[in-house]
Amino acid sequence: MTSGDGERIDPSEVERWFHQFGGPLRSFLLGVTSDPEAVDEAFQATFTRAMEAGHTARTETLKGWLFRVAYNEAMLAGRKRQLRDRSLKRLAERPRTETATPEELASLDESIRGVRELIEELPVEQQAVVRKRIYEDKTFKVIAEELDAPLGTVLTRMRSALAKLHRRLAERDEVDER
Amino acid sequence: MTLTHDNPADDFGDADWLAFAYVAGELAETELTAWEARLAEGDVEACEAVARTVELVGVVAGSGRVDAVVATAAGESNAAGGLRSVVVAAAAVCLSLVIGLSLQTSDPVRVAGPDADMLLSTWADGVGGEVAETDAEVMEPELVVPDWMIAAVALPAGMDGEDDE
Repeated sequence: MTSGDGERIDPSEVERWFHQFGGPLRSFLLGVTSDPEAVDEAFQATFTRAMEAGHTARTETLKGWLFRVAYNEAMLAGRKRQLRDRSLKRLAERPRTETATPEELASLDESIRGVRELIEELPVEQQAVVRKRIYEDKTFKVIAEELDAPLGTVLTRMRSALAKLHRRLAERDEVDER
Repeated sequence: MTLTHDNPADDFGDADWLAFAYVAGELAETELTAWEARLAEGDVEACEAVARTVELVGVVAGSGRVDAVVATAAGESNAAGGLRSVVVAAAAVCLSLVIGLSLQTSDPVRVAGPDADMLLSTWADGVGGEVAETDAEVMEPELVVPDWMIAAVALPAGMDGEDDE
């Protein structure tokens, strides 16, 4: 993975990584930091680091190497920014048009419509947990109290709902890849 | 809070569930430490699960925003409808008052008199190619005579052009 001089990586290789792994890395960074500005900073630093030290990465562990670098950069960005507590609401507030192409936006809109329909098809008890946890950003403990249900029941409902939603998104990705 | 459990029936594995609990800030201290150690090591399964969870939450939350937007738009529409009803009702009341007052007036409003007749016919003929723009101009009783016309009328008899032949 090195350029002619054996010391540095070929920039076109890093560009290929960017296209191949950029999306998941950005999402990963958002999950770690919950801060879109820290994501930008860490994302840029990750690829700068890839330019500097990418030649040390092995092909078979490249993805793990990039995630590791990204995590370290996220921690650095987080310390500088004194990151706030995690919140699903903040994840949902991220601007979605920043880097997305029209095709990606159309696909995302289609997914949102599909997921919305799917949420409406969920059993009412699962819908209630999903709405309270993701839309209203209430903790599972609070939801359990509000619904007067055991915490374990609330967690099981959420997990079942997420599994169905996850499957639907995976199906969409398979269709997109064809 | 222990979040993991075996559920071979679904393809939403423990890594995905832990990733959700992580981004939601629901992991207990010990679970959080262990999970972050996996992320720091570049554990691909854990890291990819976090990325997938962020995408999933984004889409689900997006569907919630659509609900909110639709609800807001419906609320605004209802509010606008209510405002329109008030305006229409007020206009109807005003119109009723005007009609009522004009019926009660003993001297009905009308345009009369020679000046008014002349003015109306002048306006109808479009003299000068100008159209009065306001009611005030239409109701102006005095005919404005241009200076050149006054000067022509006042010319001495010897200067009226009859001597040219």
